[in-house]
Amino acid sequence: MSVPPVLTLDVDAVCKSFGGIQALTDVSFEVRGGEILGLIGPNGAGKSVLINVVSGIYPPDSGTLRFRGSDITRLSSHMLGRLGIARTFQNIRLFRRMTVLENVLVAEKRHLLRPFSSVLGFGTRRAEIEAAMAGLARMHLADRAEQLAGTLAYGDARRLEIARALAGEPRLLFLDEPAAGMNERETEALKEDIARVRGAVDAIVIVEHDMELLRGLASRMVALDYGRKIAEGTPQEVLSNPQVVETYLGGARHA
Amino acid sequence: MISDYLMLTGLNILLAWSVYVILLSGSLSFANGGFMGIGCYAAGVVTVKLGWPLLLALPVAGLAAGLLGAVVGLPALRTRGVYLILVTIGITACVKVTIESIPYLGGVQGFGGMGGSALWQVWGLVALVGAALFALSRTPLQRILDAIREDETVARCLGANVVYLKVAMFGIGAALAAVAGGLYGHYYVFVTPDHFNILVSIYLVLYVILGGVNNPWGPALGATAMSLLPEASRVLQDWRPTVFGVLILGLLLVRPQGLLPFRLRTARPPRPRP
Repeated sequence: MSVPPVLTLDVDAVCKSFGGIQALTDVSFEVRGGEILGLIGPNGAGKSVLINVVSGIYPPDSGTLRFRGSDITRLSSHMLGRLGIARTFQNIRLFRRMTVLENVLVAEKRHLLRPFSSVLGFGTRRAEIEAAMAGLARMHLADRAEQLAGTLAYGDARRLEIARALAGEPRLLFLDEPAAGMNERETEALKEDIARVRGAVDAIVIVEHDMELLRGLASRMVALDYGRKIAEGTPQEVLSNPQVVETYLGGARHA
Repeated sequence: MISDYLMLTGLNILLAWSVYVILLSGSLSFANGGFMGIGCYAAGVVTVKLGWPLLLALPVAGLAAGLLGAVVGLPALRTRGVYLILVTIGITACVKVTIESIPYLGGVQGFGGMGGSALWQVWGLVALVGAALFALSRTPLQRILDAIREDETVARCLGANVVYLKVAMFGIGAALAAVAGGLYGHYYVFVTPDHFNILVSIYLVLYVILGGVNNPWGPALGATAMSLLPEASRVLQDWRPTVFGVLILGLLLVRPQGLLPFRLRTARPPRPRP
């Protein structure tokens, strides 16, 4: 099947500063349907700030965000979550004292939209639990369903975060440094997991400064440095861009 | 005599639950002594000045305090942690001072003439609220609240309307404290604003912390123990507060999670179909 490259997210001239620090300056790019976009840049380039702006945690100072054609610039994070923007966190943030299964079930939209109605129906429907179990199985976590999330090994915790983000059936998935702290073998496994779930969402944006994960996975890339976009295009174009090579890949920046 | 203890214990269980309900959404409230006072005076005015029956006055008191709690909670719940604690302490202080300065309510002299609250009313309500909280602990709502308590930002990103849920739970907790306050006033017949000082709020929170914050039984056990222990230790005479304080400290050292720390799961994997 071929998905036409419709626009999923349109980031237009977004600026964000914290006190005197300009974290993002006029950042513009788009996320197209069907793609996996790699967002790269050295530490402090503004990648995480950008994710936090797009997921509504920080409102942008100026600029516009459009999601599937409608303006979402001023929407709060819970509205963005409901519209279908899901994310994971750089420093894994699970509901540690809840079970693996419960972590995924929290994302069930029907209850999030009408939390008090869920009291009248009492328990969780069997179909919901089965869907959650299927989501866990997709991430190889089905046999850990009853374990407390806080007791998971590192790689499993990362995968549970992805499973939880996908459980709300989002359109757009942001992964914030999903391979951080993983060795080569774990990164390879994660790559397969991401490739497997890509059909479940319209598009995935992966923020990474480790190139290993993005190789062969990302169809396009955007490079940031000091809060500005310095390159955008196919991986070959971006990785051969002289500015990207100099500021990032070469690592030859002088202190 | 026995019925006095039963009354006190039942009321304290309801009040501990009023703190627990708010804590479900992650806010530690020291305002419940104040809400209890509002409920006590509101119900008192309705029965004494308007002549309504108590069972009609209690819902009025609950509604009034619940709405006030939600209105006050909307700005108050924007604060977090220590600041929220300070704001809720302030609410309790405000309620006391406000009642003291209203002559219609008897001012510092107090307000009397209530009566008619019975043991069956208090324990009937304990059974009702207990059943509701136990039922709640299996629902998706409980799961969403647990998620908010664990990590507000993540819950919000998943689509939970955190502000709405926090304000709603604050209002429900305030209403429950107010109904308990109404029953309290109509049992003791005469109250002064000083019955609802900050120390009361602190005690209510203590019941919950000592009993355990993760299930409805914890606060109930904490409230029961704290209601009966002081009476049981009457032989200690002047040393009572000291021994009591040391006991609490010891318990917090040995069981910082409270007496009943377990959490009930809201869902389990399905058993394979036969």
